[in-house]
Amino acid sequence: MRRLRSGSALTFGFSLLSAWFLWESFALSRVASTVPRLVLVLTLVLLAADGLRSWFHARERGGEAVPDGDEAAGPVPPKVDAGAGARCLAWIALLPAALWLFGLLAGSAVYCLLFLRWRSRESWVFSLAVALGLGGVLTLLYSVVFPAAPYAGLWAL
Amino acid sequence: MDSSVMDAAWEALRLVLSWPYVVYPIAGTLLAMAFSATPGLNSASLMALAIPVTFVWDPIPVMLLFGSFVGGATFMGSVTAILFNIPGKASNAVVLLDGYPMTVQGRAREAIGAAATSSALGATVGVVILVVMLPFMRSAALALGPAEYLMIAIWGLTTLAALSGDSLLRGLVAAGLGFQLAFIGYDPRTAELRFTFGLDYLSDGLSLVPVLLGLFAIAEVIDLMASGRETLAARQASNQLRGRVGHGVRAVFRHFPLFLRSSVLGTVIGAIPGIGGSVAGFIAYGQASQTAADSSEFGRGDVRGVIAPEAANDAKDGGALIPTLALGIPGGTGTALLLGVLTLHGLTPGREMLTDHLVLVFVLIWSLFLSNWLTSLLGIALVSPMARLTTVRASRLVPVILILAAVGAIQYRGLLADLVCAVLFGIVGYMMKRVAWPRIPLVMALVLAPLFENSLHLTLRLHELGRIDFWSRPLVIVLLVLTGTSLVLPVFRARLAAWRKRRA
Amino acid sequence: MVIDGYGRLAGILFAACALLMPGEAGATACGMLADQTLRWVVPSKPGGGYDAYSRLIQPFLEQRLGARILIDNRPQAGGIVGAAAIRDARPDGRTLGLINAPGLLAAHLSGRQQAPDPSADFTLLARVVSNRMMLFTGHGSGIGDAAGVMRLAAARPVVVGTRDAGSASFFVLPIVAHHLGLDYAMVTGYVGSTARVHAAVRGEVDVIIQTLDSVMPYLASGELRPLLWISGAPAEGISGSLGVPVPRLSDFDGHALETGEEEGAVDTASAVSSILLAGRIVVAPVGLPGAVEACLKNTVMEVLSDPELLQHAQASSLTVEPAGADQARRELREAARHMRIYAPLVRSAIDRSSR
Repeated sequence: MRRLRSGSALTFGFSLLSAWFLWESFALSRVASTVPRLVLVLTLVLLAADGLRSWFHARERGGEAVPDGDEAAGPVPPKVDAGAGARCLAWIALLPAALWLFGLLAGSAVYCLLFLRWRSRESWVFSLAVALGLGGVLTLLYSVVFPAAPYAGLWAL
Repeated sequence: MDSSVMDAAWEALRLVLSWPYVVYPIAGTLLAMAFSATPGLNSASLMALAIPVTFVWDPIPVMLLFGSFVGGATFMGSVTAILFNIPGKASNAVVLLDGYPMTVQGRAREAIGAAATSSALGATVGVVILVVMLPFMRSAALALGPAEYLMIAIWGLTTLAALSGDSLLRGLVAAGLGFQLAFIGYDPRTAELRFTFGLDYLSDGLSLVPVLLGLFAIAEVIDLMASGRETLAARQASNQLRGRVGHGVRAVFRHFPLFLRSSVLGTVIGAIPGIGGSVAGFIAYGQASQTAADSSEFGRGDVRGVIAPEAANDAKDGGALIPTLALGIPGGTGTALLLGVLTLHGLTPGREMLTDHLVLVFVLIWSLFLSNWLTSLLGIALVSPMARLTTVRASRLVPVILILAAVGAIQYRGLLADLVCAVLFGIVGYMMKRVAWPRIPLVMALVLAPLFENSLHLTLRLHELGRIDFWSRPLVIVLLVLTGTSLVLPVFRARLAAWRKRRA
Repeated sequence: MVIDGYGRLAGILFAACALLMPGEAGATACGMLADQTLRWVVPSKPGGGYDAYSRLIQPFLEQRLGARILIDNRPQAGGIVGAAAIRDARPDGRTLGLINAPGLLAAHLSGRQQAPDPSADFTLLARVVSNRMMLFTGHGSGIGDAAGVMRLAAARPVVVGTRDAGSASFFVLPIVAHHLGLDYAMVTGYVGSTARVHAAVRGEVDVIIQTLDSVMPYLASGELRPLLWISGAPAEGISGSLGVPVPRLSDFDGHALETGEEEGAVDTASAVSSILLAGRIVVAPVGLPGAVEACLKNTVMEVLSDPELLQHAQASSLTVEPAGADQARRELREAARHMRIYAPLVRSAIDRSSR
């Protein structure tokens, strides 16, 4: 059921995206829109078929087990509760935010330190050592290998 | 082969192995390996870096250096694909289908051993075919028109079935999505902006690098974080890693016909101008899966799924030099830059190059050959320490992988927005991985879509004007047969197997 | 493709390999740009014509400025994307590049694309070369000369291979066709001069319009045959079938375009020449500080006039015809004046191609 729900969400999301693209295609000339429209319509038909297949399988198996075609993917993935999932995404989203604020070099070191200390629960010594080491390697790369100045961050503006 | 060609080849080999010339391919190989080991960086960037520096050099060291850049760049991207599920570039993406499951099973050494051996031997096959075919390639390459390119794109797309694992329907949808993403940006014929939704960032189209990094590198990291897995290999001690390098090396010889077929395929596809190298691996994998007697293990850690694409990926380097040297038509960005280098040093590809500068041509070829072998040998030498990385605690690896991916994404075009794009695709890639939606078809379609759309348009337009007749073009017919075989063969084999089972 | 981020690697490993290194850096002309990294935008794929010119100029400009130049390839939409990137960059002297002025003019004035206006949206630094364009056909086409094209057009539309709208080969076609009274059918989508040349050699298209530089090897091998000079002074050694000199567009009394009382009839041949004369121009964003602008103008012109660069250019079969910023501006103004007259023709060609 977990995989079924996630799969349905993805099918729905992709369908929405394809429909949006199809809508946009009507503003284009014939030459520019012919192939995209063909592909988009075909994709929407396949998505509908996938959605229907998932629904029928769910009904047949009483909402349990996975739809055909996914068996090879192995066991159903462990449940990720909403809180854990949100925290995971927050850590991922923090990376571009850190780089945007502090720049590529300092932001990488800051992010690495925060991640190792608070997410991975490593010691301060280890976290600082890896963060500084990584920052040092990137600084060396940018001063010797990559001469173009790396993005300096909002705080440098 | 006439004596002048042999003399030129021998003279070039003598030059390549002499001091101080031998330093150039070694240094170039090390640089190419370092660049291609970092996701998002590639040898084309390295070549662009080297062009102004080498501007006033003599032609021989230039050929040695750039030949080694071409030859040394592919393998390391496969290593990261195998170990971390993170391909160095698009052409390495297909290796992870079986390479990464082998790592999860603790067979990383075997996977890398097979990849290294396929890589070196595949490059050798590519170089041999290059040398033999060089005098004939000009007229063959000139014969390739939009109809042929269209059939090649369609043939490539038929491998979707093999790349989709057990869910063909979702593989087709993923390919459709790949096409949609490829349509973003300027239409190549009318220069209209398509599907940019008013965003300046999208007017250049979606760059492959952030998409690839997101779908694989960042998605893999999210999966590591969410699954709570201790290590990449699901094993915590390096002495629990099974498999040896020797197993992988022997596997290539055990499946020698497959290796040879994939190498020839890679060389031929690499020799087709404008296709780009990514397609070779996809098609080779597809062919390996579709022609295998038992393909049930493909996608689950079958060593053949490493041998086939790796052989094709490295054989294509030799193939790509054929149109570059014979016609001045590059196969991809790397050979395009090589072409620029040749022009800047007064070397005109074509007849002049193949007659007046044959020694230089062979210097380039030998350098390519040498660097491929060097990369594979160094890769094997480094396999144990690299494989041990898979037993490091995932929570320690995650920030390093994320930051390397970020550097790769931002470095490509210097845009922070590319990192945001990579993160978004990372989330999508994770969701796809979670519910077993295949991702490779999306990448393959993203690569093939521009070729498909442009060739289709040109073919239809020329047919409308009565300028081409499909049935009078032998290569189109050959490709049509290959495409049909790709589609029919797996179905036929499945029916045959079922019939045999019923009889038994 | 942005190459930014790769530069002084030579300091380590290349130094170990170098047999010859570039001579000691010349005195820098512009102190404010020394030790900076400049982005040079190229509106073509790596390996293309604009890319070749850019990489030819790159080391000389680096030496004179004492700066690092990073090549940024932006090939989409016939160079429009690259040009827009230069226009929109910060005017601090760190972004410059090469544009196809006539192609951009056509795209801008036809109003269909979001193309920058080369006469208003850039600081012109110097012209590198004018576009010397010719009409060519494949050796197996059966067309012997320009008169042959016109005879063919009387029987059926002449099939012409072009790139997308925004390229010089695209907009020149409707103007030349109007002048000669040719009925034509366009096949767009051949990206890169090599693709168009091969289309002509294979016989997929009857004719193509190309710059001379891009087809020299094919002329030498006889696979392409020149039919007509469209712009630029005829070069020595270029002859048609049977050694006959190739005619010029002005040799044909074509259909003049009536523009109204003030302009009268426009001489198409000289108008096309004037448009293509604007050629490939080195530009930077508008609004540069005065000192930076002066520095870049002088330095780029010095580089383009450098005998060593000209020698390398000749060895690479690249023609360099430098002209300073003022001359480039005059030529561009004249080109824009003529282009406005032909804008409706070009617009209708774009409409035809997208139907």
